[in-house]
Amino acid sequence: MKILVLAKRVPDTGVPIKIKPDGSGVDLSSIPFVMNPYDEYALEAALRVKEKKENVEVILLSLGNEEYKETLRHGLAMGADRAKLIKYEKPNELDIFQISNLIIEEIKKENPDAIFCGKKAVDDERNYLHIYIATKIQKPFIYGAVNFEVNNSSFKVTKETEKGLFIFEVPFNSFIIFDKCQFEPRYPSLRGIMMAKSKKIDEIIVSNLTDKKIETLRFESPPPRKTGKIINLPFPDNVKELIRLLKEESKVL
Amino acid sequence: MIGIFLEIKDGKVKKHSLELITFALKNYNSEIFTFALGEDVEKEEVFKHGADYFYLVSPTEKVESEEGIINSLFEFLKEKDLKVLIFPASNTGRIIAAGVSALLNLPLIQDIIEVKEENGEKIFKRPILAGKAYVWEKINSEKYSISLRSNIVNPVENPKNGKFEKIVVKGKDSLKVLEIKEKEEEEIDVSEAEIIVSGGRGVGGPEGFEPLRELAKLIKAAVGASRAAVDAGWIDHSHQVGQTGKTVSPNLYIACGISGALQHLAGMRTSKVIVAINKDPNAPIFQIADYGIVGDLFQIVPALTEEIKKLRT
Ligand SMILES: Cc1cc2nc3c(=O)[nH]c(=O)nc-3n(C[C@H](O)[C@H](O)[C@H](O)COP(=O)(O)OP(=O)(O)OC[C@H]3O[C@@H](n4cnc5c(N)ncnc54)[C@H](O)[C@@H]3O)c2cc1C
Ligand SMILES: Nc1ncnc2c1ncn2[C@@H]1O[C@H](COP(=O)(O)O)[C@@H](O)[C@H]1O
Repeated sequence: MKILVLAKRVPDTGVPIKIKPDGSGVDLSSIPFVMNPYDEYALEAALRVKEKKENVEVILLSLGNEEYKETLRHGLAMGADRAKLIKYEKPNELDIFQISNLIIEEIKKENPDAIFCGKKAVDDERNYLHIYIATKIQKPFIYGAVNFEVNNSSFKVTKETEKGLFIFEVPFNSFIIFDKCQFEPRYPSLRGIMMAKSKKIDEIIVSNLTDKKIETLRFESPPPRKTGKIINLPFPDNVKELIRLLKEESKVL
Repeated sequence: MIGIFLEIKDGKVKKHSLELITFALKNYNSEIFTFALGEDVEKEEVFKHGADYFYLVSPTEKVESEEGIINSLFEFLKEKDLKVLIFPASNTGRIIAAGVSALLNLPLIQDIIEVKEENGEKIFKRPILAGKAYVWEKINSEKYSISLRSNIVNPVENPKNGKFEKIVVKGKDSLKVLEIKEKEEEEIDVSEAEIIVSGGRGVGGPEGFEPLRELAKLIKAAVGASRAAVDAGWIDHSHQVGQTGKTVSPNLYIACGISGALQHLAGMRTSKVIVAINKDPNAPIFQIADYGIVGDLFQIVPALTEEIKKLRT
């Protein structure tokens, strides 16, 4: 079985960021980058399949620049077999048609059984590349896996819905989109890191792009919330005052 | 014509979906064509808010999966000539938006929080990077889709004598459900609640959520949680607010024993009013709270419940 895992490189979201003064972009110069956390869950799931079954190949696929290689090495050190990088200097400037076309082209070449990825890239938060791809290549998909198991002939995928947790039987030939899972992605072992050095990262050159249908104009910072007040009264007057403010000042209670 | 996808729960159109009608009337000078998936629905609300058409798309077989819903809606929409499609940017709404737009080959912008005209063209704003930045985008296409976040517009009544029709399409689910673990009680979902009482590591254990639940019950709120509380196993992940949980923007968010990590703020910073209860006066949550009380949540929260009860009797 061949499992293709889509992986994006993203800035660590725990670190505050600044918008460039002219609004032309986000200043990411001193921010550490990591593998998109949701993609890490997807990769972990794929590696679990590899541990449970024979003849499973896990391939990472990214569209990005030279720096993406570090992220791919991390994935290879976790245990993926090989990686492919569609080389493009500024992946975040591509629109949905451009990026999905390039990725679909590569998917067609690899022809994997399953495709795994995370539910959204935590930087651009477009949150739909996978469904565009899955729908276009006509693979059955399931969005929002929070738990995952592999059986003899299918995957068992748990998904959260309005009504509770649903467990689905998902054929191998599917596109699975992972949410934060009930399991944690592994850390690369020392041996894994050593082995990753000799694993292959294929590079693909982008030749032509379609016209941009969605254009980025500018960025801005969210308006600062007006400074609030700490209710500095002794108990229980502070509680009474809070209720008064919620009722009379902001009228939300 | 502007197409609007309405979400139905228990036979009723959700408030978030009604907001879309008001949004469309405000921003597009066009007839409003609404559609939903289901067997039965209370249609009055839809026309009261200003829809010209309301189609209830009913698949021949019951469809539950998002993929099934997408295919059924596509069957219905493929022959229609709609200029713009608007979806609720809810958990399900976004998935449907993505699939339907892909099948119709439409560009899509998700999770819009503002739209305006610039040089005669519409431009759209949405949050990125866990809410730490906004981006303005425009679409170079006559036809397109968007999804709109909840609580951005207030639904306004604008009664019309619209036309209703039920349309049968073929429908099919591709995935088999093996097991369902239903929620124990009828809880209010955090993504739909007007008020959320949320607990973090400060609640100390599963039983620490009890005082929060009591307050929530009284003020018809949902119970939210930080990842620390979820990861500790004190409460189910469906309650988690934040970057890896749900994005919410209720009218009132009461954070109890939550420090205010960036990833938590990502999920709730657009709440209208934020209250923080924390015993550490330096907790970052106080920087974005409208009102804060420095104190022990086990003293403050039950007192809140008691005081509100007193006021109501
Ligand atoms: C990739 C990634 C994604 C993440 N996604 C999320 C997410 O979706 N949601 C999320 O919430 N976090 C998320 N996190 C985790 C986040 O970074 C924080 O670790 C988490 O939010 C902390 O939760 P907390 O505020 O409950 O706990 P803590 O930071 O430990 O804060 C507990 C607070 O409770 C206060 N306290 C303790 N006892 C009391 C008491 N008796 N009365 C009053 N106050 C008390 C303390 O003063 C403290 O401020 C994510 C992290 C990463 C790396
Ligand atoms: N440049 C990229 N390279 C590889 N995978 C990507 C890239 N961008 C997005 N993805 C994948 O698509 C998912 C959804 O991304 P998005 O629609 O951008 O939020 C991510 O979780 C990734 O798995």
